[in-house]
Amino acid sequence: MMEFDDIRNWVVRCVRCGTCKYTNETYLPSCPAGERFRFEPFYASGKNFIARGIIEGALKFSDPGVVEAIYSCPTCGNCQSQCPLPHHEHLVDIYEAMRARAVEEGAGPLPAHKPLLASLRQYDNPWMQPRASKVRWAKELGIKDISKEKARVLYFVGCTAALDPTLRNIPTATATLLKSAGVDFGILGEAEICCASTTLRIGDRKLFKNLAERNIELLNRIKVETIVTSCAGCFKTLKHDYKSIGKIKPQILHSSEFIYRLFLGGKLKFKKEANQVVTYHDPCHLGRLGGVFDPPRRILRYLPGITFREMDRIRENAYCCGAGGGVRTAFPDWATDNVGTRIEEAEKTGARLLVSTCPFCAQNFMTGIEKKGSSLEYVDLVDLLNRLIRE
Amino acid sequence: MEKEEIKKRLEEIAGKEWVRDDAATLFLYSRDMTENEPHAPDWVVMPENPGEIQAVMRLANETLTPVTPYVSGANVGGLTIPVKGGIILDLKRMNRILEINESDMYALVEPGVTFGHLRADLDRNHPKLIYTYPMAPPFTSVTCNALLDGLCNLSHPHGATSDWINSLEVVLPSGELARIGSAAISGRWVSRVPLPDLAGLFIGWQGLTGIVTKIAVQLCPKPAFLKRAFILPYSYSTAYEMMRELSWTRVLDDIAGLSWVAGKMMYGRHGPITRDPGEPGFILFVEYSANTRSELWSKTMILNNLLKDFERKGKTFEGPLDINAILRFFPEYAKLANFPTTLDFLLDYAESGGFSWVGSYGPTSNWTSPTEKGSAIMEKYGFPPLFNCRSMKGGHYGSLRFLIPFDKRDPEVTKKLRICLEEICDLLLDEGFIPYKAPNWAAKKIISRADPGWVNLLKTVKNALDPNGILNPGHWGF
Repeated sequence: MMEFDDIRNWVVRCVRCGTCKYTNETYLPSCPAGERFRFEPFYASGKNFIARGIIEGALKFSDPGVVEAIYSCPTCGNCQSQCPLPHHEHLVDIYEAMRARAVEEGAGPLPAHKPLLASLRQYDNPWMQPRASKVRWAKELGIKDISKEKARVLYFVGCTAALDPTLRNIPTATATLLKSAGVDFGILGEAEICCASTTLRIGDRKLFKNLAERNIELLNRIKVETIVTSCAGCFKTLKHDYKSIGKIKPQILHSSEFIYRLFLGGKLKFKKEANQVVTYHDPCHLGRLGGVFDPPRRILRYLPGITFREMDRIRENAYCCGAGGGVRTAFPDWATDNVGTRIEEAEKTGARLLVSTCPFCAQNFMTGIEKKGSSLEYVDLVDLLNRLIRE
Repeated sequence: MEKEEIKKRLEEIAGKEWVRDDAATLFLYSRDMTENEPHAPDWVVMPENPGEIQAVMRLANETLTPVTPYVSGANVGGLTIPVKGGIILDLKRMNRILEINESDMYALVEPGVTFGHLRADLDRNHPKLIYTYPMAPPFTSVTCNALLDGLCNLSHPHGATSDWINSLEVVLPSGELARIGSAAISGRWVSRVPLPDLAGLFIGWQGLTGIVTKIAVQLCPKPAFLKRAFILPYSYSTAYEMMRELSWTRVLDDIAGLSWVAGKMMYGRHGPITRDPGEPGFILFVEYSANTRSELWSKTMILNNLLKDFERKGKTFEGPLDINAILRFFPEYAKLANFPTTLDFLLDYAESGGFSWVGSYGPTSNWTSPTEKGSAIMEKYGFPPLFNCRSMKGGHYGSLRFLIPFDKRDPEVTKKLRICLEEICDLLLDEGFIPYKAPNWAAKKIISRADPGWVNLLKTVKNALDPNGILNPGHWGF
């Protein structure tokens, strides 16, 4: 996380060479915003130059087109993978710092984002649902409530998977897998607070700080050894973004990493073969921005009956589904069109199953698959594993 | 006509989504990486096809609105800065590779197609063919580079990228559409001969005479074997003597060089960058190809024998070093192992996003003097002596480019840079070299020294094609 005043020395490094616009070697598009809008302000180099213009006094946040350009970006960080210059690792920090300053100056966020922030203030989740709803998926699963019973592992469920009824298979499958492997785990239930990824991405730093501080205090107080998330956004936020606020003592793992360890330890026994051709989509917050590329792939490669095929753009070059950074909220049609491109790339592999590891990507892929009438089935990795361990 | 009315008409032509005039957009299209003065357009329009460009040109003529074509804006000469405002036509949406003809060995592309896209398509779908690549970031336009006489890694046998053009389709300033070359007669995009070569009306004109909407460029068979070697001469004169003699061997695909300080930048040395005592002065790199191993061996022998002759003559140099040997010491030199390449080693030095140059073509018989004097000018103004050069078209002429990353935040540095560039430009012209992709100020210097008959002809052609002066005004002295 970077402050607007700290981006000054980085934005000036951009010469607008355009290398950020496409993926190295494959030369396929890297930037969902650039692909959609095409005009220069929407590419990484454009946003850098806008930041420079603001810093040097040539532009203001209130100028037409400025807020539109800086919020028309899923903050996927693909530009970071392509840019060859030293500021490349700070590009997403730059966009987020611009959004934060836009919010401070009253120019941001976009109107569509405001209900999310209001919900977070009222319910500690962005989905406008009471806290009690967050535990509905877990009824009858007999999972420990970690605020009442001690456990070694906390499963940090995340708002989207817990509250979107179409995604409840993600927490259910995660919990079933953990149980089946004999993991001593629990959940926070109604006490779970949003990780605040949304606030950071759309620029409400004050709210982010508030939620992050409460989470850090809570997650250290429960004294678990490990926190497991099944959401790429929660993973990146807890593990990487909280560092600027405070330290979370337990180790933080994404479910794919934790399950890979169980898998290596022989704790998961598969009772069925998938007999499917499968491809994998790297969620931006898990892969490129979270550094986790291999565990999901290793699991998929070893699953019985799976033929694993990669898409053209993978790992650091993976093309974003287009849901993140507040895009799906503010520009739902664009997000759906964009994921259509990724769906076509997945279809090209001949896969029947499109596997990923992020509830937010899941929402976008499921909408996109339905809109396109694709024969692909979107499956979260935990859901696929859960299918294979059952009789 | 009022601005709002023009905007409305542009929206009717290209669609509302593809016309922008907000502050952020105008700011972005008003400037580039160079020191050239920014100037905002009034509108940026992104057409999808030649028909839309024709309609924009008709409107521009009707309203006497300037039009500046644009693809990536990375020309390093301020050539897409709309110095008189008006419409920027951003051609990025016209990015289709329309045809790769394997038999006749050409690619027919729209102006938005970049070297990266063409390379990817050839690698994937036509692996027996290659195109030529400039020492520029991969996402620059094939069309713009060819129309601006760019140089490339196969310039030694084939010349500037303009020499690779077979045929064109162009929207004239009047809005009329014309085909140039064989495509005009037979519909086949195979050559510019045997016709009056009207391609010259558009090559080197910096978009002053028409907007090219299709271009057919020659492709080459991909060689079975390729070898790249580096030679490190201690003096510029030895380096250029070698380059000239290497061109006479008629066996090399590329003969090019960089100043030693550029090489230091490549392996990550940060400023102040100077040539230390005892270091070579030059990095000369050559590439050659062959159909068989024995052909490759024969070419290697020719190269080695030539270098032995130089040794016998007492010339000092290191090498030849195979690219793989270099890569073991300096993996960063992979930048020169495969094109197109990213130029981070140059651009990284531009600590505040400023980068400018004077590039030129001239007689290879007089490479040494402008190189020595140009380097001295750069050092005088506190810039590292960074240059590169290339043998062109069998050694009939050569390129010489002085490159300057600079601190764009500092107005004093920017002012100093311009003085330095102008001094280098004057020097090059004195020494018989002619700047290419010339920024406005350099074009004025060229015109001031040009044969008056040439200048009159230039004006006559421009006025005939663009009587209202709407295309890219302010460039080439118009």
